[in-house]
Amino acid sequence: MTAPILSVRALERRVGDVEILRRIDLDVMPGEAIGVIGPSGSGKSSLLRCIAGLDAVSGGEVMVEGRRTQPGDGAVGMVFQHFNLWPHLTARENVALALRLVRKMPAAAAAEKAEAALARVGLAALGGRKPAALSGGQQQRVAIARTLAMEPRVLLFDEPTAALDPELTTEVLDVIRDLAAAGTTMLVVSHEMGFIARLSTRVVFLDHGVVVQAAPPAELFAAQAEPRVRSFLQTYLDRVAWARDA
Amino acid sequence: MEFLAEALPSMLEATAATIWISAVAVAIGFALGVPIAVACSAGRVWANLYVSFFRGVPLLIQLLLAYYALPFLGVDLPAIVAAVGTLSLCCAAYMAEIIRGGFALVPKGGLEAARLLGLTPLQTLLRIRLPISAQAMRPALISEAILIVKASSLISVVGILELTRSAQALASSTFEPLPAYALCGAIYLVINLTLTFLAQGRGGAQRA
Repeated sequence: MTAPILSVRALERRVGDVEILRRIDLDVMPGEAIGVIGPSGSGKSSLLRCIAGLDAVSGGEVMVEGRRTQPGDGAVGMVFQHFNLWPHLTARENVALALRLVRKMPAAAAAEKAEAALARVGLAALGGRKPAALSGGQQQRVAIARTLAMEPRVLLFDEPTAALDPELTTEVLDVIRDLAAAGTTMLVVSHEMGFIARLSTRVVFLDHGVVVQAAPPAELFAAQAEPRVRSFLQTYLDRVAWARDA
Repeated sequence: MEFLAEALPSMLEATAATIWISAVAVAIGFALGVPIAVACSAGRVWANLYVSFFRGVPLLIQLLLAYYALPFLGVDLPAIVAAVGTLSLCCAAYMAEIIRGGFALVPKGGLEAARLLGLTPLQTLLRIRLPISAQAMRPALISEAILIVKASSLISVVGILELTRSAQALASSTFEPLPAYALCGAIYLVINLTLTFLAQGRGGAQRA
């Protein structure tokens, strides 16, 4: 039994009187892909933001390889719903900037590594373009390349396709699937249930800041033992059924 | 013609003075405006007091205070340093408000990405916040530079020989106030139109 690469212990987040996260415990093994699902406002994004250190926690702790994490220490990388690229820089410069400023790589080496990261997400030819000249799917892949280039131990995806047109989601989901297949440890918040079911080693269902169920996807999706999980998934299945009938 | 021949040497010298005084004030004003804007955004009381004071008290009064109050307090600065310093500090207050407005346009997500990737706050300021907001801030910054060129005429009251002071001297030595002030006004206009032109030219080149 290896040690968990990420462990979340009794994590709590309160904003005023509102409890966003209530004593979340989660151990993630190296190479695992954890799908995080649940209704809006259930705390999925907050969980990721607390793990990344972007949101303050009210209690508990987050450890990566046994150490408490700080934002910017390189342990955790995050891909955001709205890409959050820097619009004044080209795709290549977006990826290379942190390599140069944080990793202190010489400009040429940083540019080379940035190109390699862009090639990995299928954007080898578009490094010279600024974000405004890229499609949403391409922008999100640049954002993934930017995070990958810094080689974080754990990668967080916060609704990576929620801001994309349906036909652009596939290219982003394919990249995430490739990364998972290559053994990248990741947590993915998404409403793409089919994608989560196929990608994840385990799925965490959050509701009102509590982990209702954490199980392999076959178990969570198929058995639907928890009534709360069942009603959530039913809404999703109804929508798919409607689309099929129409 | 005779008037111009007599006037031009001193007026051109004075024009150079006005240009460098304004350039120094705008440069220092911007350099100080950035940290003041950051401090204002962070809710620092001193920064808000600073902006309130320099925007709320007329520049003429600020100049007179610097000229008369500093020696009284035992600070012995040459008049030119006190004058350009005051102009710079005043400029910084207005620049800070412009820069703060520009910063508000930078999406929070881009700053969060920078933080997670390990950029320091200073790196984020110089590489992300300022460049992203520069385009939006430029028209207001140019306006402020033009205001400073014109406001620099006020430092004539503390005896600095710049364009306005030079025109006054010319008016009284030639007994021809009208051409003296007309020439003075025309030179200000040329300086400021040049500024506007340069700003537009650079903007066009960057958009292309």
